[in-house]
Amino acid sequence: MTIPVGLFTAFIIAALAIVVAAPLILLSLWIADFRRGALW
Amino acid sequence: MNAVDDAILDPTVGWLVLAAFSVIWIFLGWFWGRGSDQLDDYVLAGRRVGLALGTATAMATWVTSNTTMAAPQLALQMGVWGMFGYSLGAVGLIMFAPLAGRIRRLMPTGYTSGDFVRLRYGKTAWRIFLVISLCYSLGWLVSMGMAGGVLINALTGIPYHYGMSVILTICVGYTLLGGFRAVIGTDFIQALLILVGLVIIAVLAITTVGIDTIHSAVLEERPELLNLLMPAGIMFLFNNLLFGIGEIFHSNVWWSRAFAFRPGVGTKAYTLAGLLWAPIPIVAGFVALAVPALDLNIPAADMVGPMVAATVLGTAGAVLVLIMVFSALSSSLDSLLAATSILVVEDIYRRHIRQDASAAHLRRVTAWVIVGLGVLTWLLCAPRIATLAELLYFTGAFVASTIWPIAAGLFARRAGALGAISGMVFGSAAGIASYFAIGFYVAALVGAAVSMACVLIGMLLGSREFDWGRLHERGLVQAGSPA
Amino acid sequence: MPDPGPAPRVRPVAAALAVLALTMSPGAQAATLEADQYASSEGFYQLRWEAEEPVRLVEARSPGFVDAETLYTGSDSAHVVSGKPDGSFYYRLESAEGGQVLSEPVMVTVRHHSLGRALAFFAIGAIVFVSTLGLIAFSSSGSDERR
Repeated sequence: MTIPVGLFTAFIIAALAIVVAAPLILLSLWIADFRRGALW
Repeated sequence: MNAVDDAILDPTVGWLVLAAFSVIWIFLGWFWGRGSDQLDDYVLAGRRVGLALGTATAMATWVTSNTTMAAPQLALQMGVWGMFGYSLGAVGLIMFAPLAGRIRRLMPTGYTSGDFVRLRYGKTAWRIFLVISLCYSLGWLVSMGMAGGVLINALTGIPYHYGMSVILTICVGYTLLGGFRAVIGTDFIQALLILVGLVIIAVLAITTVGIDTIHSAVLEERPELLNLLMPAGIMFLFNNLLFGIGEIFHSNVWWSRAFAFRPGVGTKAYTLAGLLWAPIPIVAGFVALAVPALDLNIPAADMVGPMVAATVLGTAGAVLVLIMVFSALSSSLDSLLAATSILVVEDIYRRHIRQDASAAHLRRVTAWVIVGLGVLTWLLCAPRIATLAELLYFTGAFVASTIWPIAAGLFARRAGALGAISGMVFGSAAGIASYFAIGFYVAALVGAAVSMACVLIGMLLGSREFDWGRLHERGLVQAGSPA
Repeated sequence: MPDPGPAPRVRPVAAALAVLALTMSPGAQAATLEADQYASSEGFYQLRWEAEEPVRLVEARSPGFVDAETLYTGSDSAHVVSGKPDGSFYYRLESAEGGQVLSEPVMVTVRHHSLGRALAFFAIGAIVFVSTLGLIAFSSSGSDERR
């Protein structure tokens, strides 16, 4: 049962979207912690 | 092994990249290491790490060279279920979230997973657990060291022994100088490098070739890779999920973070880290599926990642992959060195040899153990015996057999030593047997299943209920921290 | 995270056959071709060879090589095959320029695990996973901490 190209594409794009968002999420968390003096 | 004619990058470029990052990491190690005189500062960053750094370190440590190299390899060998199955390794991180919170609450003065097993199940279970844990740690260390040498050689032509030595020396260096703070701080930067590098490579692969083209080319040349009913792929799914859970639940790499995070951070950090890690093997694996569309020859499956990146991006791609893989390796090696050294110092040195050691003394011993581990790893990597890397495949059965002893030990009062011991022993044995009888992609699954049965039987037959208060030991006296 | 597969090993039988072929018909076999496994249940394997000139690696579904397709042309010395369905596949090396046969043929048979077996393992894995989730989610530890 071959994975349909539409599903395959959606799967890859969704994963890529998270990978793109990840550094932004990490940086904004860092800024928030830094402001509160709660980095480490 | 490298059956390709030329390395992709010039050795000079390779040396420059390695030198630049080495200087940065060592400097940061020294910078962040100032003031880490106390044991708890050196080995656990003062037990106050916040959410941002906590999330990044959990995510980055779980991205090993395997994620960036083996995920493409698995995609090339097992197709879509290979990629997706690999990403199920994120489940281990997410499931550890409740454990991290509980560990922090139950054992505020604890140092290692070994401490827990000793207090929870007694000395016999503890020693069996230590054997599994140390073999796994050493196997992981060696596989990282070897991967470093192989990758640098394949990408730049720099000889294996030089590349391997450079990576190990740098990681030992900044871990030694800066302790756990250096590990966590560098992990944050390395996490960003890994993510950004991967995005660039993937976006370029998609815009150069196109997902449709990739799909149809694979369908024509390697059809089973897109088959959702590929049997080996289906067997791989839960095996990989349980292997990941086993690795994370038992290993001091993750327990040390649970002890190092400030209260309340662990649960959120691990959940978020798991969610952010999950797509990485999918994107990295997808890059490998471009092989038919690019009409690229792959001589050895483990080279597919860098080769596709270099084809799509040229020299810049190869440099990017070098930086990414160097970051992935460093972020795992430093964590391994730190966590394994605490395990050795606490569970072997302090508990077996010098029970009355002071915190200051242990701090000094830890530094020596880090160096010792680095040397031992180097010695085991030097002969470049391929089978040493295969050690890690075997560990699937062993580490998966610790899942239920650990989880039940933390959450179920009725879990007892006999269940834990038999779980680890019979689970490991059954897993190894299935490894040879069927394949590497079922060993962890079988190990986990048999172990679970043993622990459950122990819970049914046993009657003693554990008092959680027994996990709270009196802490070591140190300047500036509560006893 | 673990590496996926065992490293390829040289098959002594294949090596012996190659040597035999070389000694029995001098000049005809200028290259040795071998696979890292000759029976695969996953549909992937590695073909390796030694040759003094650029080669063309071809694959066919029958030993007569009637319907042969080119997999690779060049001077690398290995090629990873993957995603193959059930069946027997025949490989040999030809010279890149003239099409002259350079090596003995090699046969690899792919027979995937049965779907039933695969689903059985899937089910066991699912049960262990869900049970572990249940243990953590529904444990009665909430009321136990007194500190």
